[in-house]
Amino acid sequence: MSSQPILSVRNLTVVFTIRGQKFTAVDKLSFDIERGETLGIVGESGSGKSVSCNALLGLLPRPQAEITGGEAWFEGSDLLELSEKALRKIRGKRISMVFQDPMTSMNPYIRIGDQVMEPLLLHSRSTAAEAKERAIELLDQVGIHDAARRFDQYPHEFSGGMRQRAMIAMALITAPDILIADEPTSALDVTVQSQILELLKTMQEQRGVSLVLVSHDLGVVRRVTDKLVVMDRGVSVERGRTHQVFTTPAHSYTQKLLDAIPHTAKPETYRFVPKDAPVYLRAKGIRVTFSIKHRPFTAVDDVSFQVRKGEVLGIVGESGSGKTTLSQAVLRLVSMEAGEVLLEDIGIQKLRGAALKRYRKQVQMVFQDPYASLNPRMTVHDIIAEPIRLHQLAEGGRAVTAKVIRLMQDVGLSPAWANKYPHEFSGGQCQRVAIARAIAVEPILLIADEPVSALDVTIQAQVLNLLLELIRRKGLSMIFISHDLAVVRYMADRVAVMKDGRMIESGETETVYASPKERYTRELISLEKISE
Amino acid sequence: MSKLVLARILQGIPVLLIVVTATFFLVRAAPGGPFDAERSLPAEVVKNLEKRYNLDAPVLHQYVDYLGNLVRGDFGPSFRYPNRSVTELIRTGMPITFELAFYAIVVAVVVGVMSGLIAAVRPNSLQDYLPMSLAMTGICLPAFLLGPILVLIFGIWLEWLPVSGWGYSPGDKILPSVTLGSAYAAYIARLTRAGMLEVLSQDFIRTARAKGLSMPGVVFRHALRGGLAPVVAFSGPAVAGLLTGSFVVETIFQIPGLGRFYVQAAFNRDYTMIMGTTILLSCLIVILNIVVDILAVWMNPRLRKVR
Repeated sequence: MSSQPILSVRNLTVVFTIRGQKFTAVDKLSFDIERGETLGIVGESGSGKSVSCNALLGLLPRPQAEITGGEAWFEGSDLLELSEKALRKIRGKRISMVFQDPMTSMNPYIRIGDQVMEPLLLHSRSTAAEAKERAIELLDQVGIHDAARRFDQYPHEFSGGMRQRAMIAMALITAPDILIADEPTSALDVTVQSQILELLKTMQEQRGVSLVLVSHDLGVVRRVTDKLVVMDRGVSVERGRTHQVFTTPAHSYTQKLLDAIPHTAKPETYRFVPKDAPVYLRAKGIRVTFSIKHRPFTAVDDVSFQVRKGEVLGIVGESGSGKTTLSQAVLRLVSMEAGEVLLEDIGIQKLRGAALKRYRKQVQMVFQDPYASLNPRMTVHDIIAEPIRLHQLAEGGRAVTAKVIRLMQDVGLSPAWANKYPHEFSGGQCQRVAIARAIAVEPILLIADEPVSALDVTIQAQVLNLLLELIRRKGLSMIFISHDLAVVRYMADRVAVMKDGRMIESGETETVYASPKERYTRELISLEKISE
Repeated sequence: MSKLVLARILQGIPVLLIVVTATFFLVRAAPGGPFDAERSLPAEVVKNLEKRYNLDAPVLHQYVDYLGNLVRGDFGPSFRYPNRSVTELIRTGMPITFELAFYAIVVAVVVGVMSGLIAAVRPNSLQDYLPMSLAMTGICLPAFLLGPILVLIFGIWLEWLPVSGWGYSPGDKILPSVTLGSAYAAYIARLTRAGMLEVLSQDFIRTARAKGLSMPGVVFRHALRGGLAPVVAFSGPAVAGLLTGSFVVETIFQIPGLGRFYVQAAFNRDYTMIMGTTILLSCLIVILNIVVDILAVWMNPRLRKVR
């Protein structure tokens, strides 16, 4: 490694003006990256990590964002001072980017191959034929089989992981000096995540590219980076060699981040005691099929499970494994082709009228995206009060409000906020509102579908602990659905692993964790252990 | 793809049947008849005329006869111009109306898309406000007001262009085309702006910029196709509107097109002529909508079937 850094950022400061209010998104950020080195920038949402990267290439939204200070030296020139025209010669040629969501970051109207070779045509004198040859070669190298044929396909014909591979090929085709990857794996499934990280690492090593990896995921950063910068609300709170930061974090925020994800078994106090607890929910041989383009597709195939009073059943699986469809079948939101669901020994399929309404009250749902699942035009009070009124659990406005206030206190929200709207709350607070709404009707079973996946890591732990506390206090049962094995392990008494619509393995969480029977489960566990 | 086309064409048939039926009975339900004039004709003459045109038969009978003729491509004789068939009359007026509509749609698309693009590249700036205010004015000004204003400015004051006629002098097609096209240009400008703003805020635009593309490169290579989708969807109804709405412009500029026949036929209760023009125009509307639907699918790879 040369001693001269290839990119040297000093005191980068970015100010956003939103509705006349100024706030500093990045405050005096400094870092160096040497040739062939991998730098991680870690932080939660809103910490300014993506803003910093976009600032370097002049990709910030104008006129809201303004770079108010600092310098970024790259090959003798200050990127922040360069004209748009000069920057265009660097973008995509010397410094390339890979973005988070490959679904939206590729143009849906243009063939994959044309998008991959575009930077080469733009920045070099290659003919279309040469560029195409190079693009196919590179697509092949990033692991796209039959690249020559897939060259002519459109993004929607690629899976998420394949699109991200194509994005990487697109970024590398001009042989850049620096590759900035902004949350390159966050939108992908865990097993795919791991492959993409491998690929980035190999590509970087083969080509001697410097890699800047921006992520909120400490596990990801730990796996691939040499050194890292930890950012909190625009300020870099810690810098250092990666292993050093992980073993001896100097700053309290870094410590907090490291502590946030519970990589432990479920806490003793919350564990389920099976002693003569009745079975609440029993599902037998559930099978759900959809027809996609006139072809039948089995989303859930012969799945059986049961949940006892006070027990948490974790369901783990990647996207498309059928875990959400399964929960919808239990809620009777999709119809089952075969199988039955019994709640307290009563089959739910034939419920009508008052009995169905009672069932809907007994089983409540907490969704993934707290913003999308709360009505933005209702106050928090009205959101929580609505189901109380609907199921006539309190008579009169005063009694309803009293109940709302009690619920808000239960989920750790100040009742003083009752008249605020969802957008005035943070993601974690919104999820608390959603939980309050779910428990407002005094259900006996909660179904939580990825309840913390949209939240920052430090907030995740709080919401998880809240759920555990509520379950114990109110004697609820819960089906906890997640793609994140670490989270499921922390929450669930028993775990069921789903793959391609089938439940391939289930058992006591710690037993499965210690000695998984299926290969797929072993793979999931090993991936999780790496990021531990 | 061919399956889609076939399905859409088959869907058009019942639509046309409904239009034919509704028009047939509605024109007959309207008070008055083709042979009512200021000076009433002797009863015997009317009776003879009605016999000749099969109007004395029961209405249902007439309807079945008419459908039968229609299938054979015969629109019947005009009640008002006894020696000419409806087909002949349409054939004289149609090319002129089509030509006018064609120029108008060219004006509408070129002016509309250009100003929409200009506005979308720099939203909320003068570059945006100016064309958009013009567009708003264009939408608000009806053709019967805009036409005379244009005639006044370019025909009478500046004496650049002829004030009326069609095909007599080289410039006489400009004012009618602009008059007819301007309202649609304005709509298209607004649709283009909205569509482009939506696309330009997408993630893949940032990707395109990160590749080092210039702003025109981003707009034309990456944004335009998606941004014009609403314009394409609108263009079917727009062309239909141009064809049917050309009457006002044809009157202002003394153009012997189809629109004038159509309106006169309605006033004269020229049943066969009303039917003929209505069927022609509804056919066009159905066809144009099919074309637009197919175009929308063709433009969006996600809608195209992978065979």
